[in-house]
This record gives sequence, C-alpha cells and structure tokens, in this order.
Amino acid sequence: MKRAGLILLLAVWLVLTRHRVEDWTSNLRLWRSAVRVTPCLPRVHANLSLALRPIDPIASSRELATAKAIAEEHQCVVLR
Amino acid sequence: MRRPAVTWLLLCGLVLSAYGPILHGVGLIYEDTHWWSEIWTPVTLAPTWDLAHWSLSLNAWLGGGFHLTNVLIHCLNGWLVFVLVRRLLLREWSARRWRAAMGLGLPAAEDLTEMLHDQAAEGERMALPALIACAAFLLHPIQTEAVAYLSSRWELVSTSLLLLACVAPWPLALIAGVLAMTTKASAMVVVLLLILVRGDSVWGDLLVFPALLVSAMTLYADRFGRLPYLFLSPYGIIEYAARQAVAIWRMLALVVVPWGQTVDHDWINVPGWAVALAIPALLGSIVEVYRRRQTHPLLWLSACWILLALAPRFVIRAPEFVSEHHMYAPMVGVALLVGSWGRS
Repeated sequence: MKRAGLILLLAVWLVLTRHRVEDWTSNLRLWRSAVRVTPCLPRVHANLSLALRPIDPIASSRELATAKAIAEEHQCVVLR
Repeated sequence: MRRPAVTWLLLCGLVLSAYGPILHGVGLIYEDTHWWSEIWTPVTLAPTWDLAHWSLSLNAWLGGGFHLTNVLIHCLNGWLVFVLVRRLLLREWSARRWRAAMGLGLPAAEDLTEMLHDQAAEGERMALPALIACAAFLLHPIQTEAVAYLSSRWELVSTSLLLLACVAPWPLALIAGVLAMTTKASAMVVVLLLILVRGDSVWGDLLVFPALLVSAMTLYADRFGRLPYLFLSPYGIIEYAARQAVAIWRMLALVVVPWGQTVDHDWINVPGWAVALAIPALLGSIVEVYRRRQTHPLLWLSACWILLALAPRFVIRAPEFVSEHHMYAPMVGVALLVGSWGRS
C-alpha cells in the first residue's frame, strides 16, 4: 500500500516535471510563468519585457512600465 | 528486484520523455552568458580543472547537444543515487541487526555466518527502495531548473563527482572529491558529506578525509581570492543568514508541494516575521530530528545531507539566495528519505 502510494507520487512528479519543462523551452514562456508566480517582483517584468521586445514591442513597453512602477513603489532595482 | 539496471534504464526513458521539449531547437534560456564565449577556447581552461567547463567545451566542439548532455548527466546521477542509497539502507539494517545480536551477548560463529547470509539477501531486497529513491531524484519537478538551465551544468557535474566520491573506492573517491571542489565552490562540503556516509568505513577510507580537507583549504584560499563577487551581498551576516533560511524553507516547501515554481523567487517582499522566525525554526527542526536519531537514523542522515549540501550558502555571502537549481545536490538527501519510506 505504502509502495503503491509512492509510485503514484512519482507519477504525479513526472507529470509536473513535464509541465514545468515546457516553461524552459523559450525565454518568453519562462518569464511569463515567472510573472504568474511572482508578480510583485520588478525583475521578472523587466526580463519578460526583454523577451517580448522582438515579437511584441507594445506588450514589451507595458511590462517595462510595470517593472518601473513596482520598483519605484518598493524602491528597489529593476534589472539584475 | 533482480535487475536494477533495467529499471534504471526505464527511468532514464521516462526522464528523456519528460525533458523532450528542451532536447531539440532550444537555444540559450535565461543563461548567464559569461561562459558562452569561453567554451569555444578550451585550451585556456586547462589549468582550472573545471570539469563542467570542459564538458561545455566538448559540447561546443561537437557542435551541440548541450541540453541532452545535461539530461544524460542527470540520468547518471540517478544511478549513483541508487548505489549510494542501497549502501546506506544496508548499513542501517546491518547496524540494527548487530545491535540486536550484541544485546543478547557475543554472537556465536554460526550466528555470524547466518547474519552474513542475511546481509546478502537484504542487499537484494534493498534494491527496490533504492530504485524508488533513484526515481524520486530523477523525476522530482524541482530538478527541472538544474537540468534545463545550461548554467547549472556546474551543479550537475559537481553532484556527479560528490556522489562518486561517496560510493567509489578510496583512491577514486579522493580524485572525485578534489575534482568536485575544483568544479564548483559549493562542493567544499565533500569532506563533511564523506564523513557522513563513509565515516564508519575501514581506516584506508579515512585517509581520504584529511587529504580532501587539505585540498579544499588550498583550492579555496586561491578561489575566494579570484572570485570577489562571492561576498558581495548587500545584507549583513545575520540578516543574510536569516533570509537564506527563508529561502531554504521555501525550497523545502517546494520539495513537498512542487507547485509555484519560478526561475526568480521573490525574496524582496518577505514579511519581517518570516525573516525573524526562519533561523529559530531551522535550528528547532535540527534539534528535533537529532533527538530522534536513534529511532529514525535515516531521517537524521537525510536531514544532515540536505543541510550540509546547503551549508555553503550560509558561509559564502553571494548576492543571490537559494534557488531551485541549488537544490540539486540536497535532493540526494530527499531521495534517501523517500527510499527509506519505500522499505517494506
């Protein structure tokens, strides 16, 4: 019973790993997922802005503006 | 479980399928590019004995396969975890058996023969829990950052060498231990980890420890001088340790519930109470696990491995806190714990 539970747990981990690996297929996906998890961190918005710049300059500017707004609010640094 | 190698190969197949999306056509993702230009000139790297850098240079020379190499090293580490966990489970079983036998007085020769026979049979039976530990190490979602992020090649290779140092005969263990330290600064804990998992070995093995200690001191006297960024944190010693403890709690929570993974955790907006409580909670947990070391020796061993593997993060005040890829080596301790639960 205990081993069956462990095998089920391992199967869940496998699915979650596969799901997470998808985020690592491009900078855009990686930083989009980061913004979902840590929306109050200016650095992730700034990095998403960089990833968006070649494909969607308007969305890129919006993300950069968000990063600056959060940074000013928290008086911290925007970029790594 | 007579054929652990076959099961391990099946697990490698699962790992390759899980990491399939990054194996084709994925370029540099969120990379520190400081090493990217250097790997094309491998000759200049020779004096550093940095095997991770060499492996990246080899990828450059072969014209690719960067991510595939990461996944293959991860699979290899899974096998080393299997070997180590089986050995540790068997050691714990033998210690329990000896304690029980000695409690009844000195065992007779026939009893000793029977115990040795039982030990061989138990070694076979320990294969399944050790494979469960191997699967936990290979499949846990927190490992994705270390495997998918190319700059984590250092984590992967230094962990390979750490594990090799733990399971290999002593001359090879010494070489692997020194190479682990030359590959990544945080592998300086190799001496302590070896004492933890090989401390009861024959005296020949113990010669490795002072040799590694001298090597570590020599290497780090040189390395810390060359890498001043390692001590550039804006926080003071105590606040840095407290925030690092918060980060460790967050990572341990992610190990238990691997949901909410991110490449950049928010350590800026941490509530003051969490910073204040993190170190006392960590110390309290250590004391509690220590008190149970007689009844739960594998829990104690796992906790020691996790904390020792993370200890350099407290000593070296780098301008970053523990992130998911830093959990790669500590996950060996988690795998041991999962393996111990998998015993019948």
